[in-house]
Amino acid sequence: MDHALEVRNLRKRYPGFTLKDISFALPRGYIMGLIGPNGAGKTTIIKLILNIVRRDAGEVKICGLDGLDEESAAKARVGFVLDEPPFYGYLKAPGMASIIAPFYDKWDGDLFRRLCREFELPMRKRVNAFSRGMAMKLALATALSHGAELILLDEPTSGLDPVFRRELLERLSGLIHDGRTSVLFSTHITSDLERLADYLTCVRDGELVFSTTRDEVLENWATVRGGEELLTGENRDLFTAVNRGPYGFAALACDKEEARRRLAGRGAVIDRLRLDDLVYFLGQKDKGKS
Amino acid sequence: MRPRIPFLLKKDLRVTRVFWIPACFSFGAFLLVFFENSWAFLACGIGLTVVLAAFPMAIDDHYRTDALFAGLPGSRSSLVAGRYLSWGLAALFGLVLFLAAAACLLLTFKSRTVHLAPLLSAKGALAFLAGSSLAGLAFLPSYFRFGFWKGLAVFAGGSLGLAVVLSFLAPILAPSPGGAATTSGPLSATIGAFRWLAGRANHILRNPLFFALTAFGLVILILVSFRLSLAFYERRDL
Repeated sequence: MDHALEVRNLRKRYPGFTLKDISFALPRGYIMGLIGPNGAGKTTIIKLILNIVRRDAGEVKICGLDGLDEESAAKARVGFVLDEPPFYGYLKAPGMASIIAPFYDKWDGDLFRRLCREFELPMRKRVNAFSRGMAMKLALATALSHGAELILLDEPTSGLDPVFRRELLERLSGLIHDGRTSVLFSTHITSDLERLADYLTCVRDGELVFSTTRDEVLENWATVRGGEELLTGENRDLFTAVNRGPYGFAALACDKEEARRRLAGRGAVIDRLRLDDLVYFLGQKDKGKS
Repeated sequence: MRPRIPFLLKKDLRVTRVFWIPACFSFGAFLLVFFENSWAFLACGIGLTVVLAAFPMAIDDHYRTDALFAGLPGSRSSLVAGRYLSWGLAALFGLVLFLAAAACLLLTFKSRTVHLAPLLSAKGALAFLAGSSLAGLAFLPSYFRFGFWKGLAVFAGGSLGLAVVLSFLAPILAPSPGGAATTSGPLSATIGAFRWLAGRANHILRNPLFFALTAFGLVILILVSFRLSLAFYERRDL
């Protein structure tokens, strides 16, 4: 399969946090959601792909090009939005674009202006007078103005109003219709991904939990609620994360059918997984465990 | 893939453009304060040029744009090379301002500023460029290792330490400022010793062989500084 992005055994050690051997691949023409609780390592992964942060080990390939050996050619195929768009505050949007544009051979100034109009960005206002949402829109306009084959977005919808958020998701969905553009999209607003993502990659505490298709996750994973008596040693291995409360437990199971087989008829409630629940449980891993 | 360094230079010019006129005025104003002494005038000109050259880095640090440029097409080595060239360009711009200020002062105050005349020469320009370049060669590795403010603190601390050491060494190296030391105190002795050393350096550099050796030494310094900066920046997380 032709991949827009291949990440193999990516490792990065910080004091107090280690990203451990992350591997995943994003096929060309698809959207992948990168999810996980705060501090799981999502932003670090995106920065490692862009070489903004230096990796300790591992390999990144962008459209088949090595992220280090063919860095310039690989990055020319990438459009990116960082979680805090870094712009010169005293410049206006066209001034900022005039700085970024020369770095890309395929920069399309007309497309940039059209996107700015569509995003209703004020062209005569300095960037430091922009709200976070507007700065995010400007970052998106620059990321989409040079025919990138891989779009990396770090929390792009945070700070955006619901109307524009919906528009952005539709735009991203439209981008991949050409079959050559792919999107990797980290977010904590998981409802966006349920609507949009073809693939999901989930990280927790710097470790890969899974990387697979959204449908597989939604079909195979489940939330389970029940009494404490169900948390026996033999059942404990069913659950990836358990949250205990005064009236029983709620847990995340990665094999819905096995959970159903073992717990059906014993008072357990097995629900279809929502991505919100997934992130919640992974963030609350074994809370209240005795 | 087009070479990236010209865009980095253009970027530095673009982001500092709004500060050019204020910079010219401050250059003139500061130099006006120090024109009574040619050494102070030269040191002030070099100091202002260092500020001018470091300005794009301060702006990039303030707006945290290093991450943006590291993510754009290109390599870390081009970012480092861009900074060195940008520093060189600022040194040339500073030299133009410095010479212009010296010429204006000479024309305006005539006899009161006659001691500035030697600065308006190839030797004066070389001394200015050597000073501002050496400052850059010392500051840039520190900047790439520690970031702007911490790098500046390390550079300033190092420069101060070096100045103190040289102040102690200069009177020892100079053979005959002793008279000045006994009559006018240790500060005058140190200044006298520095003047003597500068005179000796001037004399030695008249010899083409020593001039060539000094130029070669400067090239080695540039290479060492660049390699250090590159090694630091290659490892740095932005």
